Amino acid sequence: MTEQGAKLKLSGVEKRYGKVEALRPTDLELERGEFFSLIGPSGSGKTTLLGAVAGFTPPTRGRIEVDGVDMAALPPYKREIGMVFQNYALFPHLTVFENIAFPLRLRKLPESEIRSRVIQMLETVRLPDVGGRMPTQLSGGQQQRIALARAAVYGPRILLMDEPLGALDKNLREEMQFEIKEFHAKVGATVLYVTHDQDEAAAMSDRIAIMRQGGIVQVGTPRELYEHPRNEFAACFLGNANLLEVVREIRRSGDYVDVETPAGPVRAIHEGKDTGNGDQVLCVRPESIGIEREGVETSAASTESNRLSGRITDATFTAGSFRYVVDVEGASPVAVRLTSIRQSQMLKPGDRVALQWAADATLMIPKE
Amino acid sequence: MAAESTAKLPLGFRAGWVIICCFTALILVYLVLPQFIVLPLSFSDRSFLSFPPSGWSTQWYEKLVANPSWFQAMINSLAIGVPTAVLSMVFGTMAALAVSRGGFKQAGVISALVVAPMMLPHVILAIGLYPLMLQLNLLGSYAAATIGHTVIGVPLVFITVTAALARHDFTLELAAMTLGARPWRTFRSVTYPTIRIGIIIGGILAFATSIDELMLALFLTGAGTRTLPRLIWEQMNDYLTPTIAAVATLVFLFTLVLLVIVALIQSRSTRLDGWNHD
Repeated sequence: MTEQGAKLKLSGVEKRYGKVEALRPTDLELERGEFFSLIGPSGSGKTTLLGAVAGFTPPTRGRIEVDGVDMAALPPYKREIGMVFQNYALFPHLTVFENIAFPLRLRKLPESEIRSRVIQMLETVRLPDVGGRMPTQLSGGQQQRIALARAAVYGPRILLMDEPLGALDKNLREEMQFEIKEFHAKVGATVLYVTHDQDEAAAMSDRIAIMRQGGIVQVGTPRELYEHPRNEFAACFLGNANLLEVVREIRRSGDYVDVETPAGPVRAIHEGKDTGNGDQVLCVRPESIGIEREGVETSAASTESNRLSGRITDATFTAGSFRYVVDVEGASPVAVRLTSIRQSQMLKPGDRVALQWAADATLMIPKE
Repeated sequence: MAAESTAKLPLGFRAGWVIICCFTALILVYLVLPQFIVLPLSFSDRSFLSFPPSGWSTQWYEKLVANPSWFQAMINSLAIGVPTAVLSMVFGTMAALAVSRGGFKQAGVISALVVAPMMLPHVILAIGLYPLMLQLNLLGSYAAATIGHTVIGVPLVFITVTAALARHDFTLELAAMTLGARPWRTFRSVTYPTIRIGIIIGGILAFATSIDELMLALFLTGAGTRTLPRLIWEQMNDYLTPTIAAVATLVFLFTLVLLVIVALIQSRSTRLDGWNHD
């Protein structure tokens, strides 16, 4: 059953509806067995891209190669690409067993093999006893596991998943993320996964493509995207980001750049990106910022190169972390996230605080 | 104190409930009772239609059986009704699939056009079809009435099948295709089983409509092909005997049986939401 995943390569894939460009010419390459996610707001083209690979929306132009064979002109039923849908799409008139057996019956396998493969698949998704039930008798999470089993039972080397957890509630979603990862490890297919949930994508994927307005903004591992977002959109879409306006550059030295912001001077890294044209912003992640009550200076934190002062406007405790919102003169409210907290950091709204963070944690990136 | 207020509230509810039930019963009686008048009329001992009947007899049913023209009319009704139902099921289902799944921008317009014959007066359709059938030399044939009745039967199937299609979205068919099913196989294994009940119910309604239809039958059937409603109408003009009530009773009971079948199919399908295939 552990089929080797196929290599999926898209080159110049484009979809137009008249004058509307639903998908700008797009190149993308998925490695064998990779778990690859497309994320982006609705209308960003991620569903169009998935539909092009599945064969539902034939691209206007471009090649879609599976292990070097162009599929762009083939109908869905000739592509041998499995798909899992948000609403499960289980056949309501067939039992769970017959749902999973459906692709095997189409391929005219002998009854004994159908039986053994379906039973094996039911065990893989850990629902060995539900074969005789109707899909509507199962919970949402169970139905989606059956849908996974059905999509993979005939051994497709590419699996597409269109927001498969979108219809489930939060706790179940996290459990199912794990289930899908485990399933992926067992069947070994290359997975192209669509979601609008950034945390879900970050938790599950080997690599992610952030999409926007019909095009890919950036491709990378979750960590790369988080630590080195290409622009303001990428920075804000994956994780939270504090953004500071850049009024002007003062000077550059090596990787560092000193910048004037409305809140004062800040030192950042520029990663050698061209800054000549267009506006720039500074991006600082909430957990990179240290916070102290004003006047209480601890020696460890005071060595950081960037310092701002402000006043707490909001303090919340969310599962596993403290979050402060700090009003800083000349900047939009700054979010600070702490996973552990010292006595001097027990703060409440109204407190005056000093913020400090490293230049290395400050990224200058193009504004939108 | 608490007991007082909780005792009062249900009483108020109960009184309201009784009033609603009585009102509903009255409406139902108003809707259904007039149709049942033909029952006692058909067992009258008088030789003309009068209500209430003064005595009882089964002579009008005997006369009905003795007169071959009634039997012929029944055969004619079936000879038109059955093909009408079949044609309506085929075209109505195709239209519903096209509108629901075809992705046409003008789906709303097409849908209105398909349903229009059901809303428009049948006499307009009859007047329109009459010269056409005359030209085609079909006037008075089974085909003429079948074509006419299919026009009003298609919307019925269209509506029931559209409703069935709306219960499941298009992803069922997409899923079947990704699993390797070609379009025809997808229809046969996935679409058809989920809309089968809708097709059957629509077909029964189209059949019942054809059996009861008078206006088109008046224009399009001839002496050899006249249907039951047409014969009843002709007899009404000539001899106002309780035989008509007897025929009407039989037609009524027949239609009632069809409606009961529809109701049974519907309740069964909502209970099972499909069938076990093993």
